[in-house]
Amino acid sequence: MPIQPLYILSALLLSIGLVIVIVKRNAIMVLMGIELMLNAANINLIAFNQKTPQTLDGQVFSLFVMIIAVCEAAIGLAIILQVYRHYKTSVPDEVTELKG
Amino acid sequence: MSLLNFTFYFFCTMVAGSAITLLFVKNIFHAALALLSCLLGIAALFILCMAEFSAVAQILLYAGGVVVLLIFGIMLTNKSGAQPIAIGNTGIFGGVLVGGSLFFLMLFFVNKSIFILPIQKPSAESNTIKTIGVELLTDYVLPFEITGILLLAVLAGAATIAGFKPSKN
Amino acid sequence: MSQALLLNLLFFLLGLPLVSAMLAQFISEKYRWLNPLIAVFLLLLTTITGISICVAQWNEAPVLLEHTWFSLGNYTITAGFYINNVTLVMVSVVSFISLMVHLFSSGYMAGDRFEKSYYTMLGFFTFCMLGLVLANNILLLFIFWELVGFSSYTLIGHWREKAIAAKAAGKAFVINRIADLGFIAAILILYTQTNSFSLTEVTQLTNEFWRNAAAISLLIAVMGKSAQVPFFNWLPSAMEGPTPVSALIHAATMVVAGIFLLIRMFPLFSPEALDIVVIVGSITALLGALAALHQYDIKKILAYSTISQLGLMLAAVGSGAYGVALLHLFTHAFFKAGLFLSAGAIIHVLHQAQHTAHVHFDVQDIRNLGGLKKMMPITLVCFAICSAALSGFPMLSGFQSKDAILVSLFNWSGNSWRLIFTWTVVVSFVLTIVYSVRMLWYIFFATAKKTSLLRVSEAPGILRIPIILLSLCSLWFVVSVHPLEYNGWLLNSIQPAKHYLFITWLSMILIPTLSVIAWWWYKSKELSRVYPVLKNGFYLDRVYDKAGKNTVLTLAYTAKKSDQGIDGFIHVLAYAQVTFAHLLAWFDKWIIDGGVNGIAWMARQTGALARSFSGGKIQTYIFWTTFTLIIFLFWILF
Repeated sequence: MPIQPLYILSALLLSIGLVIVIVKRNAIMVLMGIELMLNAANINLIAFNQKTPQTLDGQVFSLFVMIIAVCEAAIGLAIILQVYRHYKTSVPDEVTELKG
Repeated sequence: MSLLNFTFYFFCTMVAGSAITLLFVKNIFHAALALLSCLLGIAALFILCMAEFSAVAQILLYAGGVVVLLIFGIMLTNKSGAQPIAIGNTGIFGGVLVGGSLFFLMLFFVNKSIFILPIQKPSAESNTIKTIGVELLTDYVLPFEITGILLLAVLAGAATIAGFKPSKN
Repeated sequence: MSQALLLNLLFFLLGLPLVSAMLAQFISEKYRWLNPLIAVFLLLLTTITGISICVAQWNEAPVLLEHTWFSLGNYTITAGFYINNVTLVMVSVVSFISLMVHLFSSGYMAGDRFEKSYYTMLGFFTFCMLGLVLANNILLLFIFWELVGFSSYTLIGHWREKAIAAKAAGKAFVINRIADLGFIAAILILYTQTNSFSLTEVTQLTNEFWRNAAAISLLIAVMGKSAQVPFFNWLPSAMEGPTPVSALIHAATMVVAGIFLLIRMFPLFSPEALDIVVIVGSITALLGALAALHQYDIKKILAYSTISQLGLMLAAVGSGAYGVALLHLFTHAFFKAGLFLSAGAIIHVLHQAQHTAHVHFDVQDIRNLGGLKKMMPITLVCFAICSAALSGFPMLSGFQSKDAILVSLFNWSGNSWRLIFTWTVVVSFVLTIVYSVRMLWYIFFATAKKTSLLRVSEAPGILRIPIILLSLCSLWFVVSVHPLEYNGWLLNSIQPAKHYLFITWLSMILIPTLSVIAWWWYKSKELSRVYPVLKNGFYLDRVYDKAGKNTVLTLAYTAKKSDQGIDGFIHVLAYAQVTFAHLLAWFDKWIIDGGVNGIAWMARQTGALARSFSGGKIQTYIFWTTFTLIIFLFWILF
């Protein structure tokens, strides 16, 4: 398979994920953005793995990434639920407790 | 164009399109669906890249786990019976600036260097799943174990956090 | 007489009328009977002073009393009195006539509403006239010249509620001012040419061209003041003033100021300029006499007669015999003042009679008069003597002075083209006789018309005294002892005139003959019809109205238009300024204020930016983190 389009795709996904994280006024949407970015990394790993088909290091890493992503999603959702319960909102902008 | 190539570009386009839809969609439930299609597309790309195990894990973990989890989150953070929350945007300028500049930065470097894959010989004899299993339990045994501990911690933590109720006083 | 004493006397002479004028203003309404008393008394003192100065200084060397008036840089302007025989004659005439008029006024003006201002202006006029006569500085002379014009203006318009009087005053003033442009031009010419204002010095001007220019300019001023062609139309209108005023100002003194000026400036006039003077004078004499013949109003007749006589004086000056002109001025002052005052007495008496009889008609119109010979015998005698003097009867002063004029004119003309003007004057003499007889006939001898309705008695004593005195002064002895000899005390001391016995004898025979013929002529027929052209003074008023008004209106229109142009320009300027101001305001608001505000805005934005770093918003933190990362990447990779 050609490798170049995958890189471009991963760059696109990362950027879109970043934009979603920064721009969207909804915590769950932010989580989705994070997932998108992690997937972009995964695509990269898998694509590079094609250069050394014997070792499969990339695939193993992608597995770890997935696991981390799942953990992150679980914890993140738990936090969001708690925040929603506490602040009655899921808009991250309205939670300004971190104000310096 | 071979069928394989067509399939590859089809899924590339599908992933990119879903991601862009995700960026512009207003309804958060539609966003979750767009994410699902994006993740499935990625899984298909994994298969095309000879990473069957990753693809399967992708489908299981993301489509089966994360997206369902997200939909549950949506449900829980929405008042029942109300319209799904329309997603507003904030700081569009900053986001587009950062995202765009990052994209073009990466695009620039991707285009600058030329990646050539080695001549692939079909490895029918090599079993990917077996190789991964061996790898995980030999070279990557430490991360594997740590991941297990992490998963345990996440399980406990998530349950604790989600189940936490503020005291009455 | 020492100079110091003379100076004191002169100040006394000038000051007394001025004091009279001021006192008239300050005496309260309660003591208004004091007004004429004080005025007459002070004028009596003035007259005594004047005549005593005249007697003392007569035939002495001319005295020049000069003082520095003011200095302009290197130029020192001196002002002073100049006293020679001419000025002495003028001083005596002016003060004497003024006294007579004051005396007359005390009867005539009694009970007048504006008596106060009347005596003020009368005193002021006397002061100005004396100042004019005595001044040796042409600038000072001009000031007095204007002041007498001003006094004349106020006195003509004395009955200011009469629109016609106010209009006549305005007319006299305006026409005199126009003519006075000539005076100003003359002053400018003389000063630039001689660097002096002194009369004794400016007459020494040698440059032929400028001498003539100054002379002609002066002549124009004289033509205005002495009511010559073409400026004479103000004088008949001026008869709207009180009759004593007409006697003083418009017959005896102010109008002869022009003649006096010509006599004072005589050295300035070249023979050619003098020819012009004769031409103007003779034409005026003829036209005035013609117009006088066709008037119905007593005062208008006298006014045109005055114009005619002034023309004669001008002609006399022009013929070179300025002494003769002065002589005629002298005699004319008495008999014309006498005529005016007699006319005033008649008017006064008739007015009084009208009041008691409740009959109203125009008492100045000779068509309404007649048959007064029985009612006012003394006035008749005085009036007859004065009008006989006017027409030049022998044994009266008029005969002597007119004889002298005739002789000097015939001397001047010889056998040249000038004879035309001499004969013009002769014709005017004949006309004078005719209109004198006409006037006398219709007032006193004709059958009484509307006057028969009135019970008329002789004028009161206070009016009679001045008339009698003036008619006495119209007799021959004021000129010389010999009734046919004009070289008396006056002419011998100033400029003896030549004799031409043929003319004297001829006129001695012709004048009474003509008078008798005229007498029969008027006796035999009713009042002759008059020619409107002559009655209306050759329509000069209308011509001036037409020409002057249209010119002035055109000028005013042009001025208005140009003013509008200027206004438009100013408006455009103003608009430009407003626009510019708007631009400035815009600039101020958007560029300067905007700059300041922009800086403030920048500061606020910077502050907001800096604050937003720690705004507590997670996404902002993420943004800044990634932003910094990207910048770092750019920094590293490029």
